[in-house]
Amino acid sequence: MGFLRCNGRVTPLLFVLCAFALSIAGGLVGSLVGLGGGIVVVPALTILLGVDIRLAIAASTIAVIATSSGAAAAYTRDRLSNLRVAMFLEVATVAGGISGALVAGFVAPSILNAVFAAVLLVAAVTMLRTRHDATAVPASDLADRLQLHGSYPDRATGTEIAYQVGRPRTGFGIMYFAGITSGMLGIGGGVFKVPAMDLAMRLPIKVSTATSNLMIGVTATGAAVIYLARGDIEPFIAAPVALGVLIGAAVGARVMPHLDGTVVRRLFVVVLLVTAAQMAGKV
Amino acid sequence: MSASDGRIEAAISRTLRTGVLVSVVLLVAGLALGIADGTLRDDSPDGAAVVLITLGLVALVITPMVRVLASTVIYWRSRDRVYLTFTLAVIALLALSVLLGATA
Repeated sequence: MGFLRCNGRVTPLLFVLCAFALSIAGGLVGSLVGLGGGIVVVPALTILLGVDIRLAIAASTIAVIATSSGAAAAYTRDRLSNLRVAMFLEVATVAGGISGALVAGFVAPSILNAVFAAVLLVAAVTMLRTRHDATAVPASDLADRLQLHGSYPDRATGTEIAYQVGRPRTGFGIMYFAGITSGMLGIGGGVFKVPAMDLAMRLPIKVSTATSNLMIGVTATGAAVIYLARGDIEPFIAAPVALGVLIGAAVGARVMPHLDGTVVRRLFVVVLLVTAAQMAGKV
Repeated sequence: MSASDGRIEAAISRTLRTGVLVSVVLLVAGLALGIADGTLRDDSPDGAAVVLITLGLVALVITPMVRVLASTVIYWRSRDRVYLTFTLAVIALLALSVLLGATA
């Protein structure tokens, strides 16, 4: 475990190399589960490399955008992302992000963390037990009118899989909630996007994570601009993180079309549980 | 899936790839320069290396915005009013969030 030697006093060059290597893992996991890779990058920077949490969170917004753009180019070309669902739901997440930032001062973070940890735990259990059946998607006039339904080429089986999208209003509502959480806590909003598309709207899991992956870049942009303007983004932390994440995300996006949906679902549930534990730890 | 969707997918994929490429070139150049000229070792807050890295980060951060703008143009041209409204709303809300953050 050479990475562990990054802990403690390291030379700046070794720090850059370690941040780069750890971020490759972050980009790989992040691109597969549709989150920003912050779940790997923040603990890696703070625990292994001793970076201040404020700088780590600022760098992780860069990681989120890098994961999104790095993987979404491939997911969009491979038609794994559902663009219409993304454009529709982005309105809710960005609006929620603003609401969250505005009310952030009025609710105790420990209460928020406790509530979100509980919600994530329920989502994880539900997602693990759910077995999707294409005929079970509830019909929706709004989804028809917005032409949200789609299809994607599944390389694992070599077939084109058509799917229907249900409950757009519920999905929109949960996305607004997801935006609020990311606005209030600075991180963690992405973990609600995939369950919303999976459980409420009934998108195939790979489409859910690929679409979430496209959206998180836009959601994180507002925060990233503010961090950049404030000077919270340390160049020699952010640069290796961005480059590592971009490489990891590019690899992840190549692997994803060949993966079985069940594998992606299980990986997502593991990440959900880890995030719930992290939030519970802050209560 | 309407006729414009294929074009939007191609345009978005191209936009994202271009943004990432520009960012990578600037970040690699900035890091290499920082290692070579001692900016990294001395943790100096200014210099050409820091400028290059900052430009690379700016390119990365604006890429998703450019993606939304590119989609807006295509929805405008294909007269898709509903999705044009969605993308314009996202742009307006993002601008608002930056303004709120900047004044906070």
